Parts: sequence; structure tokens; C-alpha cells
Amino acid sequence: MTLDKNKGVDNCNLCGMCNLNCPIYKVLLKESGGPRFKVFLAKKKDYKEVFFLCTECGACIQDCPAKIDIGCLKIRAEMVKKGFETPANKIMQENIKQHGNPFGEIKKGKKIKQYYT
Amino acid sequence: MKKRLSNIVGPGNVSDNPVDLEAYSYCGSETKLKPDVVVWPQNTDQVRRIMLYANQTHTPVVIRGSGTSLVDGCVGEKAAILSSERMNKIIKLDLKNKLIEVEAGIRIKDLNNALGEFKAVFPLIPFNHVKTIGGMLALNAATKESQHLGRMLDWVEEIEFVDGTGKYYYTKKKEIVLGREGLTGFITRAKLRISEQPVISIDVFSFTQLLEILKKVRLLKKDVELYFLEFLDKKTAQELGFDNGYVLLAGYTSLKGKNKNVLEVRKLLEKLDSTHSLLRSKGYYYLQDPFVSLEKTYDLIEWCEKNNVRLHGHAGFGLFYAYFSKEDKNLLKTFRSFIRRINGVFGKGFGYGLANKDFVSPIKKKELIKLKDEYDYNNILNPDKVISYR
Repeated sequence: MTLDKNKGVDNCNLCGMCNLNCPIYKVLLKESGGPRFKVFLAKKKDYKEVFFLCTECGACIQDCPAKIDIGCLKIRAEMVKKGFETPANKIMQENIKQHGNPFGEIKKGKKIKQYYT
Repeated sequence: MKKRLSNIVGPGNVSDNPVDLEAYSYCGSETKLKPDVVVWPQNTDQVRRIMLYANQTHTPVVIRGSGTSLVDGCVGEKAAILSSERMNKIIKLDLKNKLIEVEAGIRIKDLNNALGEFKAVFPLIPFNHVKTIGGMLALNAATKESQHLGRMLDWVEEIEFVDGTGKYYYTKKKEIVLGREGLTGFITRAKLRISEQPVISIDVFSFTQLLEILKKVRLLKKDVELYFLEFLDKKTAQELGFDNGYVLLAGYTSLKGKNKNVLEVRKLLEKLDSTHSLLRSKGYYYLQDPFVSLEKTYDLIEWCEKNNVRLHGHAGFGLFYAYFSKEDKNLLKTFRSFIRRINGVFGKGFGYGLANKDFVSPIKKKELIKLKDEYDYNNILNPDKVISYR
């Protein structure tokens, strides 16, 4: 079967099958964490922080009957270009600039793990 | 309101964040209605307390599972959305008696994945695998297997629910909430029957003449071993790789069908299950669920063919799925009038919700009003859905 047509978000009719195996949805168990909400927003080009809640695993594309690819990476890139950053990303970037690692200042005797758990 | 609700369910299980409200403003249909608050209860007691609070404050409550309703069944303006997403556990599996007790928010695919380990299955499988058991119960859903196995009603032993006044029930009187689209209560748990993986064989029949199909359907329907009887229109059948012409796929609970080898059967079932994906990938966007008598099936197929509307469905009991492309949105209205003209109805597959409200029969309306009077007299649950109460 060829699935060549209408892969864009405009062809999404919000059936919700993409939420089936999404790892983010499975953890958060709420609509705003799942891919369907991202498509809903992408359709109207309303890019929000939720686009950063994606592992880019592609499970949503597999489960989507219309094989729609949301393209979270591209959207994120566009958002960053326009100056948007998540608070976590900002901290990480600052840490890399100042300390050469995303966790911040590493004190003697402390293991890196202690900084992110 | 958020503070009161978070006292009941905990701060992480209630939200009035604009992002969450937007996420719960839509379902599988095009209507968008923004709620005031979203609540994710985690147990029956929380549901009961939420209902009591909603009655005190006259807050409308809209029940939601996976949010797959195609008839605006799980959205509500200025309502509290009560989501069963976090009530998704399997409580008890009794393999000896072939029973399973589950919470309402478990999705059909997750349930069958878990049952697969024990070579068991919940045999009514809708084409949208993300549907929750609660949602399927509220619709008394039918699937292709319903030809032989009946609807959801036939697979429930006992049901637990909280009615619109906050009263708790654990009962065998399933008809209070089953198929009531959340008008009488919030289903929290259900004890379902399960079965072993069925052994089936399949026959594939191709036809060039419409009348021949109807003759065959009439004949096959008398067969007690008939497991499902699926119709595919000419174009869809061809695209799925069947012979030219209309196709009927007849599944049997015995090995009398021509395709009995496990691999052959699996291949055919996969083809059949991919019908929805195929049509969606071809750009067919809007879905309708016409239910017509066998005598009128001829007219339905002919109309769809003439208007380039794709059609497949459960020919054995007259429930079909019609797919319209985005450009044919205007045809939907004509189609609905046409179905009415041939004495067909909508709502037997996807439910009535808001979109199919005008197809609710007077008898059903009366029945629902009576139930509302008893179980939700303050009209808290899913107000304005299916019927206009008070």
C-alpha cells in the first residue's frame, strides 16, 4: 500500500491514534503531552512549549492512519530562531558556557549523577 | 473551583492552565468547546466526591476517555472535563472463569496487549485502538465481531459507576449506564468477559452486481457460524488488493472458509484492518456512520458510488462507515438527508453526542429522560448531549 498523499498536519482529523504508543503521553497521561495536541497546534501554526515534549521516536507516525509527521524538530528549530527557549534549555546553555557541562558547577567530591537526580 | 477540586484529587490531577484547557477543547470531531477545568481522578471515591461538589455548585461535567468521539461527545463549553485517562489499571484477571476487571480508562490496545501474554483477548476490537473501555461501554460499541459476539453489553458481567448525584453503584443492571453516552453516570470499573484467541477461516466473495451482494448477505446472515461479514466498495477493494468489483469478506468460527491457514487468515485480517488507514491516507477526512436496513443497503452503496464517497462496513447488521474527502464537506448535509429519506439513522456506531442528536428516536429520548430523572436530576452530566433535558 502506498501512503504517498497528504502527509501534512492539515490532513489530521484528530482521531487520536497517535497517542497510543507515545512515550511522553504514556508518562504524563494527559492530552497536552501527546502528539495529537501538537498536530492540533501545528495546524494553526500556534507553536508552544509542548513541542519540546517529544522524543522524536516516531511512534506517532507509525500509529497514524494517515502517516502524518508533525516534524517537532523543525518546529523547535523555528521557535528557537524566533527567540523561544524552554527554561531548562536556557539553564543548560548557560551551564555549558560557564562550566563546560550542562549540569553547572561540579564541586569536588560530588559525582555528576547527583546534579541531575 | 480548582482549589476545591485539588483538595479532592491532589494538585497534580487538576488543571486550569490555558494549555491544558485548549488540549481538552477538541475531540475527534471539528467542534471546539473550551472547558473551565480538567480533572483526572484516580479512583472511584474521588469521582464520587467530584460529583457531589459539581451538584453543590451546579458545575456541568463532561466525561472523557481518549477523546475519540466523532460526534462532539466529550467536549463542553465552561464545563469540568472529567477524564478517565489516569484510571487505566487492570484490577483482577480470572483466567479460570474468563473474566477481567478493569478501570474504565484502559485503552483497548493496552488491554489486549496485556491479555495476549495469557493467550486471551477481549474480542470486540474497534478500528481505533486508542478507545477506552469506558468509552466503548458508554456507546455500547459495535465492531465487526459484533455479527457473532454482540455489542459491549453482551461482554459485561458487572459494572461500577458513580451517577450524576454522586451515588456509587456496583451492579449487574448494566443498562443504566451502558450505551447512555455518559448521561447517567461515570463508569469507573467493569468486569468484562474475555475469550481465547478465536480460530477463524475466511471466504472472500467478489461481485460485479449490487443485487448479487444483497442476495449473498441475506444467505450468509442465516449462518450461525458467521463471525463477521464485511463489505468493501469497488475502489477500496481494488486498492486493498482484492479482485475487481465489490467485495464481501465472511469470517467463520469454523474452518469451512477457503482461507483457513493461519497466515492466510492473518493476511486477510490485516488487509481488512488497514481499510481505515488506507482511506485516511488517500485524503478521505470526514467519517459518518450510516445504519440502514438490508433492503436499503443497495441505495446506500449506489449513492456513495455516484458521489465518490468511500464505503465499507458491517454488511451483516447494516452499520457502515462512509468517508468523505475534505472538498466534499458540503456533501455531508445531502448525505444526512439522504440517509433520513431511506429510513436510516446515524449514531449506532459513533453515538449521538451533539452531532447526531436529531437522529435520536422519541422512544430513546423518553427512556433517557426517565433515567436522567432518577440518576442525574440536576443535569450535571454531559448536559445537552443526546437529548435536551429540562
